[in-house]
Amino acid sequence: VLLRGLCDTSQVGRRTQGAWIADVVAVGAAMVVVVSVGTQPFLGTASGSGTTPALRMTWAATTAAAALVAAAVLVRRPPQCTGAGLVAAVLVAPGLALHVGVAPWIKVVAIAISASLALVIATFVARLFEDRSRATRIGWAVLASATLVSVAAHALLRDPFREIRCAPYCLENPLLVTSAQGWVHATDRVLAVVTLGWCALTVASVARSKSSIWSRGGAALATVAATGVAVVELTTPGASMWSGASPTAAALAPAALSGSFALATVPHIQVWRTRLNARQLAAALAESVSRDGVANHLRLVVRHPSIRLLFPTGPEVYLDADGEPTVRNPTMATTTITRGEAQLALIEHDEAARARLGAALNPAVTIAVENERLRALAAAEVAELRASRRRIVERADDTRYRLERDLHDGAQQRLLLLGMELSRMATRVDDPGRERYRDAIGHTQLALAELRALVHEGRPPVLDELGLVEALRTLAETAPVPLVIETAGPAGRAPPAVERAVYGLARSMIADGHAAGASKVRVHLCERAGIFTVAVGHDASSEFDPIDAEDRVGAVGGAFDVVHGPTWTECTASFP
Amino acid sequence: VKVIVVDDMVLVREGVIRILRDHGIEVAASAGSAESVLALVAAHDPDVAILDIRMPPTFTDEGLRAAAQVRAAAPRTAVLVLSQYLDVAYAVQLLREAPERVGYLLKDRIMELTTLTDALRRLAEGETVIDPTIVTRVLGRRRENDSLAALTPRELDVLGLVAEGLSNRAIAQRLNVNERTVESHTTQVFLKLGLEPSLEMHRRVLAVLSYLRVNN
Repeated sequence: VLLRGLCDTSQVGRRTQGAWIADVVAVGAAMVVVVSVGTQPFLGTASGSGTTPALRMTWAATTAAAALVAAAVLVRRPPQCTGAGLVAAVLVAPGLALHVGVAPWIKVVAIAISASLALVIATFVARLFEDRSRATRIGWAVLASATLVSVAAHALLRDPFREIRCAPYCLENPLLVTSAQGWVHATDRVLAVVTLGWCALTVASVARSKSSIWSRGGAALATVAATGVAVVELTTPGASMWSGASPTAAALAPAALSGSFALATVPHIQVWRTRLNARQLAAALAESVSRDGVANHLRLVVRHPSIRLLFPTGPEVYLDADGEPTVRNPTMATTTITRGEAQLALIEHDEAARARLGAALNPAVTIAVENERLRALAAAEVAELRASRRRIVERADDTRYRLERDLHDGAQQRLLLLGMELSRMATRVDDPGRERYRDAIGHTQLALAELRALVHEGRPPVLDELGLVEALRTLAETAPVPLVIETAGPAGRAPPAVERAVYGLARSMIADGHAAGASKVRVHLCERAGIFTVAVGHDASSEFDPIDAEDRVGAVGGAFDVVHGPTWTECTASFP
Repeated sequence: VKVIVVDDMVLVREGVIRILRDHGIEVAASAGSAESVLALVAAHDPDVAILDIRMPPTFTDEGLRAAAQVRAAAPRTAVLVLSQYLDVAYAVQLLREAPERVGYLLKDRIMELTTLTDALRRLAEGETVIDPTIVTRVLGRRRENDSLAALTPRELDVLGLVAEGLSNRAIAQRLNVNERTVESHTTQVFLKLGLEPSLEMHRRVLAVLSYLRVNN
């Protein structure tokens, strides 16, 4: 479990079924290791003498379990673990074969297994603390390796035949390297001290952090047990509990030490997993700039599709991740995310998901939620500004249109009547006077023409009635430079506001091209995949800054760009 | 010549009627909206129906649509659309929907009696009428590769008059030349512009206007 946890660099919440099977296999393998080591003396005792088939099977199972752990590490494939996992697997595999039938060089393999496991542990531990300082990292790696080495040394140096009271449970130790009874006692003590140190470290860190009562209690219990064993070991000269006269003590000492070690490790694993999750979530959130990213991640972590993030902007007024107004679903449960007094977001979820959601929330999520809230608020503001800009342009257009209609119906009509009366009178007077009427009629016609130009200039009726292309062709009739109109894609009508924006852009580009001495102005209209793109360019260099056109394009949600080339100028606008 | 006048602006309508009557043109009836046009045409059988382009309810191109309806329902009645729009687009649309015996004049022409009466006479005789101002505009348009540069000044004149809807005989009278000369000019012009030379009179107006409008 420890190795699996350490090497779990998969994205939080994206656990596949395979990963869960790997978890189960790793847990099972670790249990086999513990059980087989723990039952070794009793199996020997039961059989009465020497190496029994049961014992061999136990050891084979132990090695197989170690191999499975290594394989699980390999399957997980985190880059930092692969090398160490590979070494462990390579070394463990022949060990498995050799345990079934004991060979003389089995000890070499045993040493190699221990060394490789120490290497793996050291790598994992160093990786765990990779976001800490270098000294901390090395310190933890050394501590972990030392623990493992002392455990291994203890196993490799203990010769059961040298025991004072060997007979009841003397076993052949297949791992025995050299028979050095003095060293065995020393490693007994080292083991006790290392375990005690580990427990003390845990107590210190548990006391600092907000761990659960179970973690605190477990750490305290482990420390008490380890202290007991250590005190006995250190205060009994020349002997140890393991090899003492009492079989109970001999069974109790390793059980107490390994139990303490395991108990003391649990809180660390919890902390590591939390830190790892937070780190991975932070990394995933940093990677993902997609909208609604937090809710997506929470959905995956909590494995509940109901999760939705709402950002309150007022009492019972909410925005979604896009900044669109939304309402709360009253049938759903909610969890509030706050920073200080401020309510950042409301997570809407199924009541069943509450516990898992609570466990998934951490400071990294809060930061991400705060970011997303800011993004939603900004999006809402941008949408409102855009709508307001569109309204301003529309209102200006409407005002102008009404003004034109009024002019048309009023002034134009009067001028027409005036002209008609003048022409009727002209027919009733003599030649000299008729000439003056003709002048007056000419002025009336000029006034009408000017009025028409004024009224139709910005928004010619042909634009509204016959569309952009016809309007551009009409524009070409009076343009001081040739206007080339090209179209691609379906020749349907665009929304009126878009057509007006493009028409305005073409007009200002014609004026600019004329001023800059261009030989032609080209308008290219293209509709593809639902996007209407317009390019208006001329073949002269200019400092054209079409603010009005840009405003109009922006007001209808289009994108605008102007490029000043050395011998050309081009504006492009695209509308979804 | 017997006409009906349809215009939603009362003062202008009354003015037009007065001015037409002054010149001996019979105004059989008048109306303020496009809906009653067909009924008036059926009732009075006029030579020409004079329609304003902009009428209720939408004040856009009701006149054009009414013109097409009149032409379809009463082939004997010509239609003159009076417009405040200089755009060739409307003239082209009118010609497309009702290719024969239609006229498109700027509304300002109602103060030029000769132009107006001349147009009515031509329409009654079966010609097509397009406002000279519009033709001048579209002829004078800037072109990138000017295909009109290949035409002689006389050919340009002929082209303009063709676009105004004049028949070869009318062009010959206008230019004081032989009708056969005009025929050879028009053939030349159509060849140079790559247009179908054998088009009958009404179709060629649309062809020329469309060409001048779209060709760069």
